[in-house]
Amino acid sequence: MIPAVLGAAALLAALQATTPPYATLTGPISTVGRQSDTVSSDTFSVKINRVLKAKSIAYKQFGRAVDLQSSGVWVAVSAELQAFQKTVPVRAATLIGSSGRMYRQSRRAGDAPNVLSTKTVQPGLPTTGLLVFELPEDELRNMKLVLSEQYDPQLKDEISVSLETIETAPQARLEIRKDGV
Amino acid sequence: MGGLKRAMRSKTGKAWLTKLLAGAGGLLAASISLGYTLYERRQADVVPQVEVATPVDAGRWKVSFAGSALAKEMPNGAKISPGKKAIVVSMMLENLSAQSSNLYGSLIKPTNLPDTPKPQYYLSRDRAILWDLQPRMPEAVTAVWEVPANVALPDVLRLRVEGEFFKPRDNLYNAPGWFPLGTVAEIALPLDGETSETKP
Amino acid sequence: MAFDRERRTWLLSLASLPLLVVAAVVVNAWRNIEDYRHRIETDIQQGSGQLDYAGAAWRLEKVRLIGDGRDAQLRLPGEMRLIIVRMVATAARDIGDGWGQCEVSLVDGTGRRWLPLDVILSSDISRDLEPDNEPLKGCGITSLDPPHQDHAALIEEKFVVPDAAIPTLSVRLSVAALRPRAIGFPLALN
Repeated sequence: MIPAVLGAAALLAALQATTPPYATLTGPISTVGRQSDTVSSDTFSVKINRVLKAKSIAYKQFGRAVDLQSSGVWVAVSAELQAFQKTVPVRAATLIGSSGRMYRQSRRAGDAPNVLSTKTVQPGLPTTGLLVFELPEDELRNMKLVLSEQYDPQLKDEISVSLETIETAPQARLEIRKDGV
Repeated sequence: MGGLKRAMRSKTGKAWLTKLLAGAGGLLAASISLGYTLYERRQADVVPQVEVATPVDAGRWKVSFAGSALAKEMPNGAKISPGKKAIVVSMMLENLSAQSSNLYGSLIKPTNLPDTPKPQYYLSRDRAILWDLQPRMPEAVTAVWEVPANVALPDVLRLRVEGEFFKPRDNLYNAPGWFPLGTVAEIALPLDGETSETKP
Repeated sequence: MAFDRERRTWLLSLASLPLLVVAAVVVNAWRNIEDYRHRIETDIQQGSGQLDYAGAAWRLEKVRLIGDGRDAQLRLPGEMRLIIVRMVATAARDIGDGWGQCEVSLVDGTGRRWLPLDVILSSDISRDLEPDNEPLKGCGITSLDPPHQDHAALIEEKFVVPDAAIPTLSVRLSVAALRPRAIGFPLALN
């Protein structure tokens, strides 16, 4: 009798200790991949074209020249997104730096041409665009790019791509034009 | 007959003892809880006063003030709302958390201004509205409060810095979160006269 | 004899346990199941002429295909095409708030869905194509001020679709109160 009760208590304690927390149970459905591959989740896929780093970013907005400086480094990721079954607005992009800190895409450069946050991906129409981040220079190793429809997705797809470390130094100025970087 | 009486008495004795123990246990639990609450509040609420250019650690944000002034226009060049005055406080603000954040609205509260809403923050580098601040990247920002033009302004602006603390697992969702800590610092900034651009 | 009866009761209770667990799960999940059903569209009534739905008679008024150069001399890059769908709904009774959370989408033969462009982009495109006319409202905005009995409403939604999907496209409309029931009209382009 007593061993049965103790055994049941031990089993229940083990179950309780290993239950995932609520945030994980209702959190993102994650797909992980590498920069060289097209990483696909159920609803959308990502193919990274280029990753560039620069000390400053320049573009034209309504004919006015915009020049953005940073205390760190700008990272511009050019990616192609595809939606499979339904229109997907990919609004959330985060770079996880080498320290694990999460750097969301910069709204300072939110009105640059070609930025993905203004584009909606339609099924059958691959969409290419830019994701712009700013982060300290020592966070640039072993970065991960995380994309989803919204920040903190709940039971929605999230794609995480490991980016290759760029050995070259950041260029002084990155010009973003309508036709590319 | 005597045995029955004795059995009854010991039963009543046992019941009386059980009740006493239950009551004492409850009383002990309540007094431990009260004692712990009092213990947590044992320190007098003394709020440290800081000077200009001294960094203040408010949990999620680190702020160091530069100065305050009355402004002729908003830091991004926009006009001040008609019938209002703009009080501008310039500071260095750094995000100490592990994620980009724009939750600095409740960080600083003026104590000697009448009912003020949350301030509007501007990034001095861009001369534009401030959005997110990235971790480990301090920036020079300005906070602007708009008050009605007919309000008498003090000579010295007193500000309170509200702190937050991080809990990796909260009580409700077992998820990480930031919770209010109370005032961590106070500062008195002389309010300069009308300037067209804030002091660096 | 009593032992047998007790044993039978025990076995009966054990056997009914799975059924009770299932019943408990269903009872607790009922509200979530209902919410889920009100978000999906499974029962679609297709038609070419007029369809009755949500207290009004609907029909497809006009479909414009833009991007291959034929309409508005506008060419869009690559496979991208713009489709503008107009529908007319004649109310058979006062709609009130019966059109809440109205959803319009384009569906192709394989089940892919295209959602309409957002209001700001849609208005900008309307002003570019027809600068003299006021942009027409989408279904969501019309549902806030629906037509009264015997009045009609004109609804327009814009979609960006690939050229390859156009032959099999149909437009689908549903409202929250009646989902999973929806109505659909084949676009019959090309």
